[in-house]
Amino acid sequence: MNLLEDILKYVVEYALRQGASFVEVRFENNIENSILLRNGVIEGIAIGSSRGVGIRTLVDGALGFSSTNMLDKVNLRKTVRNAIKLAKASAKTRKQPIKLSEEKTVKTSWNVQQNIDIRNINIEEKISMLQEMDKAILSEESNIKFPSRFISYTDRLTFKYYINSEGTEIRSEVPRISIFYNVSAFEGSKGVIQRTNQIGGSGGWELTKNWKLIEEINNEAQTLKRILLESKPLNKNRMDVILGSEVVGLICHESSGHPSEADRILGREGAQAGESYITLDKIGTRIGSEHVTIVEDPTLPNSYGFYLYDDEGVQARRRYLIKEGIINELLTNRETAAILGTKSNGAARAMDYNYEPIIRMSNTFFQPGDYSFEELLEDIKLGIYIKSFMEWNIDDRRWNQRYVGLEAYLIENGEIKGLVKNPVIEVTTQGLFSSVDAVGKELRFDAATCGKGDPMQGVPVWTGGPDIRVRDLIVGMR
Amino acid sequence: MSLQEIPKKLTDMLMKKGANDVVTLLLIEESKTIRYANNQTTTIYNINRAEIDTYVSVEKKIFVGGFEDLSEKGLENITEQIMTTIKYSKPSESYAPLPSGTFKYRQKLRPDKRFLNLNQELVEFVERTINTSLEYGAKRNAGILNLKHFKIFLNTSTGIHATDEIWRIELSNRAFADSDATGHWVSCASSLDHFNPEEVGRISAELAKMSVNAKSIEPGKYDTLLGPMIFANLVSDYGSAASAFVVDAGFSFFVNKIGQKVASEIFTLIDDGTLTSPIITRRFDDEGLPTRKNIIVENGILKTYLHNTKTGTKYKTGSTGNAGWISPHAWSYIVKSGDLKEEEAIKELRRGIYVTNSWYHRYQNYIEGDFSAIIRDAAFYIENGEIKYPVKGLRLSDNMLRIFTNIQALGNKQHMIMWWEVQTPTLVPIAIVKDVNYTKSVK
Repeated sequence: MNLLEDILKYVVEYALRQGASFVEVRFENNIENSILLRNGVIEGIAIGSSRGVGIRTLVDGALGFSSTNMLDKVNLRKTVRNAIKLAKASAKTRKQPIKLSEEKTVKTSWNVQQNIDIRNINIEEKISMLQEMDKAILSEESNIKFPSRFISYTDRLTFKYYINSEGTEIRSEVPRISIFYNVSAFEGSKGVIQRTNQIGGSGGWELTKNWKLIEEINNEAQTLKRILLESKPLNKNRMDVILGSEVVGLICHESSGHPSEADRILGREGAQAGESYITLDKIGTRIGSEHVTIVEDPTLPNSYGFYLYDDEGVQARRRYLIKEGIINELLTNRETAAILGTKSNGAARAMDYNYEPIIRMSNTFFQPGDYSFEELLEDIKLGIYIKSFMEWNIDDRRWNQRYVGLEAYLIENGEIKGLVKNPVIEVTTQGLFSSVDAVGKELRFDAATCGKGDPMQGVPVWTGGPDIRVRDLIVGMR
Repeated sequence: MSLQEIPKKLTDMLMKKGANDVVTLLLIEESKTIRYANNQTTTIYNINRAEIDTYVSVEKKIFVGGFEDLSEKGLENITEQIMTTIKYSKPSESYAPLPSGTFKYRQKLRPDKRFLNLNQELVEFVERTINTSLEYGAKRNAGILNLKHFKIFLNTSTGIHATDEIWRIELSNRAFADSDATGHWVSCASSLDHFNPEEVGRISAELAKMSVNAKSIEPGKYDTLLGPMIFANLVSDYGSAASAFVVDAGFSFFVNKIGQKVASEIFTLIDDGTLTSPIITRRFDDEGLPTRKNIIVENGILKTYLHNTKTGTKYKTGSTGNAGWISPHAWSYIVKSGDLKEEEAIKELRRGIYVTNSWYHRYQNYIEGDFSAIIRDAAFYIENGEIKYPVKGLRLSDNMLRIFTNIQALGNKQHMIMWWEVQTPTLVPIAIVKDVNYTKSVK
């Protein structure tokens, strides 16, 4: 038995002795390296390192979460006792005791392989990569300037060791890399436009090679120039819309993923992230056309939201949130699965050791169909193709949403025409999903950091999809 | 080695290894949280942690970091890691030497023991909130109660040693009178004398009950009464754009606007780092400079960005006591009150909307300030100075500078707001804004 294992098992035994009926202990060690580049110049480099244990106990039917990074036994005992004391007091307010679903116990370990270990890449090489990206933007300067360029790089190596009082023990190690940028393009008579974007995945330094970052950001700069010079406002009109995969991924996340979270549906996030248009009696009912199938899958290799076991020790698997237009499956953890009389489907995630695991998405995407882009276009008489977006939001029941296009094109008689300025779609979830009549075949993903919970927890996710065709929406202008 | 000795020790270790500037900041947190939903607790949090944050420069190369392994060996590793990493970095154009000298900070305050020892009482606060809300007509409640306590120890290579202690209690309750009829209210204070769970229960429930059977209204421009929750949310967004780093990074609509009109002439916004009540703010910033009052916007004119030493050197203004080693930030936002009596505010509107809360502020363009926000919780259509009916499904779609320029009146009473959407203590009155634009979903 090593020292860490000894400590974690000691905590489990101590909490049980103090009256807990269930205990789980999650040790995490996170090492995060970041670089901030502004207008080609390094603002600073940063290392964030967190290392501690999160302890969750079930006491008298109430859940208590406590955490500490002072791992001596005296402090650990105090942390457990405080949590149990408060949990016992809070148990009195519960009408129904909290129960956890029964799950298989496992002893395993898993990790994400790095072909090129990020620990072997020195900071100089990372800085150089960002500066090359910045140069790739500047190389597009003409009468249009890029006066504000912000690029950040982050890699994070997460080691976890999870054990619970039922006998589960899981070790894991996951490296993740992400790049975020915000670029402004400016021309005297046209004003300024902005593009922000994030690219991310799990794996080693090889990810940055696969992403073709220089080419990607140079394309962004070229596109911003064209939008600034060429985009024209369009009168508000009813028309068909092709949504690009970037927008489709976000829609999957916001309008299917979040409302499928069982904790929201059961009211647990009511004061913050809100509740859901999905109620338990709506499972099995139609929300969209038969072309709409939305998948949640933590097991996609090298994805930003990748994991094989969740933070309650439950094995991850693919879930079909919406299947051929029918609300099919919720995202659950052990608490909500017990209420629903089912098994957890492994959606519990915590941002760090000092956060409780709550229901989260991982990689959420629209299942591809078999249309080429040309086929999506061909019978649209008047329409718009929204390839990327900036502004968006959705209400807290995930029903009323809005997306404002950044790169967007007019479609006339099956052909892409000129760029359109700031088109807006504002539509209900059912209105949108019911109007999908064709789905492209090329699946693409974007990275994001999804926020939920109070205390707020940001976790890495992918959002994805192909291009899709949506009939007869009202498209406005900002 | 005690925890308090760690900052000085780490500063010395880094200087010995060749650092030119070092700041070390030890943060010790002991916090308790109760979350509840459906009128019962869902979980409790108990956090007990210590972290050492570090700023280092070597030959104008800048490093910042946060570490949690505070053992002797851990500190050696941190030193080694920083000095190895920084070697391969490049000089920053933003670099400026750390401040030095002797500074006078506001008097150090201590929380009373009753405050820090709250346990069972926290559960009772939650019960009192829920029960009051139910009495006033809510069917269910969800919310969070936080008791936060931080100790801060700062040490710099320029000889600054400073300590502080921050504590507060924050309660946020959302009452549901129906699935989409909700009201939200908060109470946050550094003293139980200013903490009022019953008022939180009552106000949230009253708003929720008034929101039952909300109707849809036509989108368009409406004169708007902004309640304290939504106004605080807008003010904290607006104020955060005054950070010089945010300006330089292209996330601000205040770019090149110093000395220009950015709000109505009745609007004055202050960042106050010297608050002791109802919320206590920090005595010193992350570079060891005393915090102070900064007038960000005075009578509608943008007076200053918020600076640390680096941005203050670049802008030739000096620091405003708002470090953040990379990005300066406000310690609190205070909007000066006006002369509008709250109870008469609705009477001021001929045709308008009263909105109480918002979330999901998202920008199409940070520099222009074009954004939209979801109107959340209670909202009401007003005609001839009277509430006609509750409304739902609206989205505020406008421009940040236009909204603040169109402020017509400010309330005569201020409310301290902190919750999930508003992380910086924000003291605001209510506000009336002319011609706010709203949209809604159409399919």
